[in-house]
Amino acid sequence: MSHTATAVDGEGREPAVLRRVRHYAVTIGAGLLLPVLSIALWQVAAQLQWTDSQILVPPSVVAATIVEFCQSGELPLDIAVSVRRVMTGFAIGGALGFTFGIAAGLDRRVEAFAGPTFHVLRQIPVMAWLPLLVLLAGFGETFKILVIALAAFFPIGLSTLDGVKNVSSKYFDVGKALCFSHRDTLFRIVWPAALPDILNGLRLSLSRSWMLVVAAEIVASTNGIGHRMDWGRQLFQIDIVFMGVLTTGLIGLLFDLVLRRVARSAVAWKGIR
Amino acid sequence: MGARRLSLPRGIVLPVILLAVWEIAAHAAKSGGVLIAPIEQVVGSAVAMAVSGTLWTDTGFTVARVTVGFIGGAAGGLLFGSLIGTSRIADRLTSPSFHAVRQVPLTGWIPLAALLFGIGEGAKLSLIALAAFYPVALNTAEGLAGVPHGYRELGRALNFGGFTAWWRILLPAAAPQIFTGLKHGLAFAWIAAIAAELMLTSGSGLGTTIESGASLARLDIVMVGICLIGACGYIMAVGAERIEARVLRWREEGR
Repeated sequence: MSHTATAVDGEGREPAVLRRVRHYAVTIGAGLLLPVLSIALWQVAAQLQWTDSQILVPPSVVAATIVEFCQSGELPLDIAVSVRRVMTGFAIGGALGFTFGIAAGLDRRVEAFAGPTFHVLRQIPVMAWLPLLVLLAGFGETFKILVIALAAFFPIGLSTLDGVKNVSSKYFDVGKALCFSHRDTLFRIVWPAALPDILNGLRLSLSRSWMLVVAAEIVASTNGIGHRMDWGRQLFQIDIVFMGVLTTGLIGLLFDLVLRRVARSAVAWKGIR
Repeated sequence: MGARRLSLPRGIVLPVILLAVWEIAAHAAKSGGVLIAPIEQVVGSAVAMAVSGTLWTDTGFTVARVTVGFIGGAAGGLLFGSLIGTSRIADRLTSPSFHAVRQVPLTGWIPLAALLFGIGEGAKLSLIALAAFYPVALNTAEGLAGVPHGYRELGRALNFGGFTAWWRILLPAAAPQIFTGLKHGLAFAWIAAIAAELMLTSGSGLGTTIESGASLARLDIVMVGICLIGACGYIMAVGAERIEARVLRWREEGR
C-alpha cells in the first residue's frame, strides 16, 4: 500500500484516499447488510422452529449440501455440463445470428427476403419451442444445443441488424471520401460503429441462453444444473434446489460481468468514460 | 421493437418455401413413422380447438395469469424502483441484493417455486410477477434518478410533500423510462407465463397445451399453441406501444 504512504505526505490529499477506502467499505458493508441479516434471520427462524424446517431448510444445511456436492464433484460436473452446452449453443446461434444481421444490415435484398420471416419468428418466445424440439430432436444433446442456439440467434441477429443499419451515413461518406475499399468500409467503419449494439445483443443472448439451458435441463435431461434442481424438487430436497438457485445466479452474474467488461472496452473509442 | 414496415412481395418468398418444405417433409415422414403434422392438419386442429372452445379458454387463462401477475409485479417494481430511485440509503442497502438476485435465471426459480407454493396458481403468478418486477424496478429507479434537479426544486418551491412530489413531478418526469420498463416487464411476464405453464402443468393455459400436446406426440396441437403464443405476445407488445404513445403524447407536443 505504497499509495497510502505517499498520499499521507501530501497534506490536502491524505483524506481523499481514506475517503475512497471508507466509501468502498461503506458501500460494500451496506450492500452486505441485507443479505447477512436475512440469512441470519432465516437461520434463527429455522432453529427456533418458527418455520417448517422441512420446507424452509436453514442456510447451514444449504451450505453443508453445497460443500458436500462440491467435494463429491457432482456440482462442478453439473456446472461444467451446463456451461459447455451454453457455450456450444451460444457459439452456433450467435454466429448464425451475427451472419444474418450483417448480411441483412448491409444488403437490402437480403433484408427484404428474410427480414419479415425473421421478425415474425422472433415474436415467438424460445420457451414455446421447447416441447416441439423435444418431440422432433428427442431428449438428447441435439435438443439442448438447438434450444440454446435458438435463444442466442434472435437477440444477436436483431441487435447486429439494428447496429449495422444504424451506422451513421456520415461515416459512409467519410469512407467514400477516403476511397475505402469494400473491405475497409466493413472493418474500419461498420464494425466499430455497430460493435456496441452487437455486444448488447451478445449480453442479452447469453442471459437468454443461460435461462433456456436451465429450462431445457429441467424439462428433459439426465445431467446439468437444471436437472440437478429438478431432481432436488422431485426428492423434496429443498437444500439442493437452493444450491441450484445460488449456482445459476452466480454463473449468470459471471457471464454478465465478463460481457459488461468487454462491452465497456469496445465503446472506449466513443470517448465515453 | 414493434411494427416495422415489412416489404411483403419478396418477404413472402421465404415463408412459402419454408411451408412447402414442411408440407413435403410431413408427407414424406408419414411413411417413415415420424409424426410431423402437415399444414392442413394443423389448420384443422386450430379450427377444431376454436370450435370446441379449448383454444379460447387456454388463451384466456394464460392472458388472465399474465395480467394479474404483471399488475402485481409492475406495482411492486414501481414502488421498489421509486424507493431506490429517490432514497440513497435504500439504494445502498438493497440495490446490491437486488442486482445479485436478478442474475438468477427465471427458470432457475421454477423448481423452488414448485416446492414452496405447489404447482398451482401461486407458483405461476409469483413467477410472472417476478419477471415483470425486475425491468420495471430497474427502469423506474434509473428514470427517477435521472430527473433533472430543477424539477425537484420546483416541487420544493411549490411546497409539495414527499408523496405529492413523487406523484405529480417525479413519476411523470420519469414516465418515458418507466414505460420502457413496463414494456419489457410485459414481454418477460409473457415468457414467464409460458415457462411456468410448461413446467408446472396444472390447469389450463397455452404453455400447458403445448406441453400436453407434445406428450401425446400431437404436433398439430403444439404448432397451434406456438402460433397463438407468438401472436398473443405480439398483440400485447403492439398494444403496450399504443398505450405508451397515447399516455406519453405530451412528449410529442412539447417538441
